[in-house]
Amino acid sequence: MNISKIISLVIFILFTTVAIGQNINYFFIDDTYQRSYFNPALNDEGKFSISSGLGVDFITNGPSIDDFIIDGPEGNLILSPANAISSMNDVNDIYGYSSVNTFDASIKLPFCRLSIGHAWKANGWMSYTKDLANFVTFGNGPFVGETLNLAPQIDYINYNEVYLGIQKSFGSLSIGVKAKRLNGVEAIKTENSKIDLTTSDDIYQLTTDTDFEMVATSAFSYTDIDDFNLNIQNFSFDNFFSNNGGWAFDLGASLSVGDKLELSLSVLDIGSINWDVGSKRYSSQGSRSFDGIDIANYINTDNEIVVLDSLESLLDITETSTEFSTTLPTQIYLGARFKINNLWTVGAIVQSIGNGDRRTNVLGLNATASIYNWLSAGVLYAAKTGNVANIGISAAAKLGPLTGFLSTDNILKVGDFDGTNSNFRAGLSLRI
Amino acid sequence: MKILQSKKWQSHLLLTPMMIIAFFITNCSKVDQINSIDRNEQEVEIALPLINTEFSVNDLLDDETANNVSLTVDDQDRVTIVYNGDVVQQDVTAVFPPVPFLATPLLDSVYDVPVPFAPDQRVDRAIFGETEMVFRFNSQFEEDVNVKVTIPQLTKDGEVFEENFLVKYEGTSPVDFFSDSFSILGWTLIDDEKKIRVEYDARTPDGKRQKFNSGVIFFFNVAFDYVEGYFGSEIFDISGDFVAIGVLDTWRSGGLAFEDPKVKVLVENSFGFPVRSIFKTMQVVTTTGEMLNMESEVIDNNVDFAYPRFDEMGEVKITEFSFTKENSNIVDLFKEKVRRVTYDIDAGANPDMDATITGFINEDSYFLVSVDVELPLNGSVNNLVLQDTIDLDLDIEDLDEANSAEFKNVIANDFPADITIQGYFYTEDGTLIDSLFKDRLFIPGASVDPSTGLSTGGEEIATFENFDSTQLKNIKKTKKMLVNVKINTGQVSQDPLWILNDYGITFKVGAKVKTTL
Repeated sequence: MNISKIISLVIFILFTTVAIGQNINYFFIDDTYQRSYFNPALNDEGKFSISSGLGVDFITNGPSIDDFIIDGPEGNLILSPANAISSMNDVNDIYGYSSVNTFDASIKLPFCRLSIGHAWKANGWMSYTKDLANFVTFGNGPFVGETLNLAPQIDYINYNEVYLGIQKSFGSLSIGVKAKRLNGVEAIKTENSKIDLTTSDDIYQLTTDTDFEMVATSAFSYTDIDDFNLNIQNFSFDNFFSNNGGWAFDLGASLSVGDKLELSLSVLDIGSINWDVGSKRYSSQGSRSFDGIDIANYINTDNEIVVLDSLESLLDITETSTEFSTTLPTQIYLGARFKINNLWTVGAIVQSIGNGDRRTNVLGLNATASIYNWLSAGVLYAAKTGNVANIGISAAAKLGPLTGFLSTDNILKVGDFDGTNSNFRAGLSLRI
Repeated sequence: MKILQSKKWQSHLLLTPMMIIAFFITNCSKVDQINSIDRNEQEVEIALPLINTEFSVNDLLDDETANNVSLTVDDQDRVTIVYNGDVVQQDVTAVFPPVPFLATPLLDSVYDVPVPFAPDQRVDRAIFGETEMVFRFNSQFEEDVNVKVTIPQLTKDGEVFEENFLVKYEGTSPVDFFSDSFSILGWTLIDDEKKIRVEYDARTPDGKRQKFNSGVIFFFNVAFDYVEGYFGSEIFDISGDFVAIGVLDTWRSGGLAFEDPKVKVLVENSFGFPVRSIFKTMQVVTTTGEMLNMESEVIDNNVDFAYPRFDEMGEVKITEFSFTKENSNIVDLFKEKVRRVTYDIDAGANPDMDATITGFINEDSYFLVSVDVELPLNGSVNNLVLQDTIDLDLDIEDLDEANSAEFKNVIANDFPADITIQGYFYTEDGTLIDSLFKDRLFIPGASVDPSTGLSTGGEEIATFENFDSTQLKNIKKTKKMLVNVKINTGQVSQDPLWILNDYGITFKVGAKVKTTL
């Protein structure tokens, strides 16, 4: 078994994934187009806007990246999965999200505002067991007589979106809609995920009990248990306007009550992608055992004894071509801002992201000060599912019509691998 | 103004976290280093089963190179090894070999053609097989000649053989005439003093009977589907052969005593005449090459084989006889580590030369002899040492990556015999590399119930063997393995013991291999 590949998979997920619990702090930054990322109805100011930005989010309830890394004798960093295992839960989730909003443009027409834009997004979740980490790190030798739960779960998509948005104000009420054409770059998704490995304490007979179904595009290829590849791409335009198509919609509304209070509600990413290029289904079902070679069958024959074949048959992964569909993690935002005076604005936002029973919720409370006309700064307290204490900050600076901002929900862990909850968002917005 | 003043102190308060952001972002030393991260070497221990097998009596004897061996199990589950000799079979052609071609001149229009039966044979009646006849006449007449050939002794369905020809004159004389070929399949020949009378009636167009200058009758593939008569004192050569006894092919020392070995001879006979055995050779050959004669009243007295009478035509009569501890010296012979039993048995027809006995042969008649050696596995083993060298290529790439390996051997022995095993790894040029076990692997024999003499079943024992990386690398050079097995029943019981079919040796090996990744 290629343990390096499995370790690489975990590390990859730690560094690149994605998507639940995205940065919410920049919701409270004034005069930026990026607020419409939370709610298309909030694109309600200015005649013309263009913007760009990027964001990275990472949450895990298991060990941090720092736990996987130890300092080497020469000051270098050394990847040491063994170091992280003590920090693991029995089951560990990793969420990640990254996006590059290459451009957004909005223009106010006589009857409405139209907006267009493009973004590349990667959004993923992976769950791995402590048993899996122990197995790939130490082997099954230390776990003779035990059953290890090895099944990883993963739901990862990487796609481009091009959208057309429309916003219309009706007095103090603003309504916004975005229609997004999606083209998937790659995806990996487990549907059933059970791989139990039992090592007998007799002569270490191996038994697997599997109910494993995984669909994947070319991001994953499998030849045998010793030869599989994970070929994850980063920013990519593969299949752009060609294959792996899908649609998604953002719906939002906001209400201004006087000059002080703004209420907003939105539902984003209602849609899915149909993966139709190079997509495969990998399945392993049933209970299998390898009890050792019955050499009585080989005596006085020319048959070659190949143990590896017997081990591979424990999983007996079958590969079939298939098309499949993935639903985007739907985001729901309920926000409010209240302008106390020219200096202070306070607000709150509730974020709910996910699909089915895998949904996380965040409550954020923010206070933002307009320190100068060109500079504002905010502080955020966020309570997230499984992590109730996060302090975030943001800062925005204006230079004429140009606004730039930086934002994080967890200032204490920005740029530190020790974080189990890190995110960062930066953006530029030109608004006339 | 107040507002601005307020902003002033508050701005410092809020700028502080901004500075913190800047600090973290600009001082992410680990982020800078992530591109050059090294991987820590980690020792991984893989546990997996290697061998899990149960050798039954059948497996222990299974040897494709000696496919003449089989096992029989009686109703008490007791095992007997049976070594089968080649089966020797003779059919009707042994008595009447087919004659491919026979040509006999017809010296007159009525002529007795001699039949080529042996002088001491008497054929009363014979039915031809796939035999064909052709007639040739040399006509000196310058006109057509009508010919009628009759063979009164050849009949079919009550009709006498008769054929008519036209020897046509076509302007050239003499005319050399060849008839078409006639199949006489199924025609019955009544012998008369070993002659067949052939008559031809040749007449020219004026009705005058003529005689040709010459005539010939040709027989092609003279063969009989049925013959009745007296067939003389024919000797059937069964051909000498041997029965290989593989159980001691790998014998090195020690003794193996069988309580009741047997050599069994089985004869199938559907020839309808008396046959008696003629033992030319009956010997055993020991592992040292010594040849010892079997002594038995069976050899001295010979054996008359059963044969079917006329009213039993088509039946196969079975005759079985054995060389046993009661009628021979076979037990003593098998104490000498027998490697093969050789035999040469002929069968003599009509041993009493009584010509009044009329016998028969038909196309399905055959004579079959098979010789088996039966070794009931009831006996004792006295420090029997078996040794063999097998080809074994352990040039396994993964062995280089192993830091160490611990092999767990789990063994249970149902046989009532102590067994010790050792294996030795050798290079191609015969250099000893290492041994399979640090000390000989001792597999204690199962206990025996004194009241039954049967094994009470083996108990599992586990042993561990450790190999370090140096040993594993050396073992890669292995091209041959010498296996040495020592078996002894003396520690279990002094009495002869039976081996039952459900006895077996469970042999399981698992390994924990440590490697660094």
